[in-house]
Amino acid sequence: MESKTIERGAMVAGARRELFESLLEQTHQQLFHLALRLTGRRADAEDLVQESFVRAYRFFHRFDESLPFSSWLYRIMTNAYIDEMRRRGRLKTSSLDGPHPETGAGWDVRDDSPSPEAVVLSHEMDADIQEALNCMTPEFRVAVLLADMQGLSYEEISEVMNTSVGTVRSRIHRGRKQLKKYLSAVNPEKYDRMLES
Amino acid sequence: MNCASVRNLLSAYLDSELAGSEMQQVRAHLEQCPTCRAECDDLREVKSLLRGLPPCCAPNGMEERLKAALSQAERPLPLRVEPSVAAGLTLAAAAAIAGFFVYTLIKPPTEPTMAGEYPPAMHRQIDGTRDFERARSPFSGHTIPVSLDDGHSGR
Repeated sequence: MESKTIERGAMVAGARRELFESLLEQTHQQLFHLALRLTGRRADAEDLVQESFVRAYRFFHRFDESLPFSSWLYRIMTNAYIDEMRRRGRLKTSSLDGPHPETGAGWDVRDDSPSPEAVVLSHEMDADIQEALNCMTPEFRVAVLLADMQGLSYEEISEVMNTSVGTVRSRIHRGRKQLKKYLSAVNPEKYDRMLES
Repeated sequence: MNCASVRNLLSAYLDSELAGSEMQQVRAHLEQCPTCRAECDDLREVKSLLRGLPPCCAPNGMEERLKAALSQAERPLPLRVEPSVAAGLTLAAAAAIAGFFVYTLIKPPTEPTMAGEYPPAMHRQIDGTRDFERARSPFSGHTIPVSLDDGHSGR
């Protein structure tokens, strides 16, 4: 492993860039998917993905190949995201009990559902879920998305978030409860029925 | 296990992230506790909603923009100084300059070691062959010897 790191460190710039670009081609879609769910806005998501790849490229010589490249990117991206949220001073301003700070934010995702009814329902639900995600504590949001959307194990999430498995377990549990509370509050008829069915 | 401890484990239970014995204890509790079972069902549905989110397509041209942005990373990082550090350095520099002037103003004049004599270094100058004249110090008012090395005699 160390020898591979040294080899990469000693690579000529062109070969290093070529290797990184091929990894970028394989991973940028999934990274954008996560970034979009984290930020809730396409422009913010693209900025976050770009910041993450630039950081990753700058420190590519430190990449530990015992981890998947995508996990390393998740780690860089979630750190960049939480740093940015802290910088904006919004880390603890979201509340499920108060008004949503980003109400009216545009939300535009591709929908592959065939029927118009399904499209409307899917957009509505997608928007509701995104609103709920936006209201979550950032650390909870990261943990829940990595588990439920990206399918990472608690152990993998603990490595990405640089924390203990116990903390991951607690964040996921509390995050899901926040989501449930929000969805029941914004549309009790739809979500309570759905959750009860 | 009581209800409170079971509820804290429900998400990990749903994700199969509990040890075998804990899984069995939670399962046994859920079979006989409808309240905890309802909460477990709620969490399962939330998890299912997130899993069902449609994949998002990256914007057109993003891949090319990302590759272009890598060039930024190839340039050396600019020196970035935190505003608080910059303010501290400015204050420290201002204090050093002010301190120098204050020290110069209050510094006692160089006194002769004996009446009518100057310290050995000056003595050597005065006794030497160079031309000197006595000037008045602008800060202390005392007269000091001044070398006139430009060839003019100031005597």
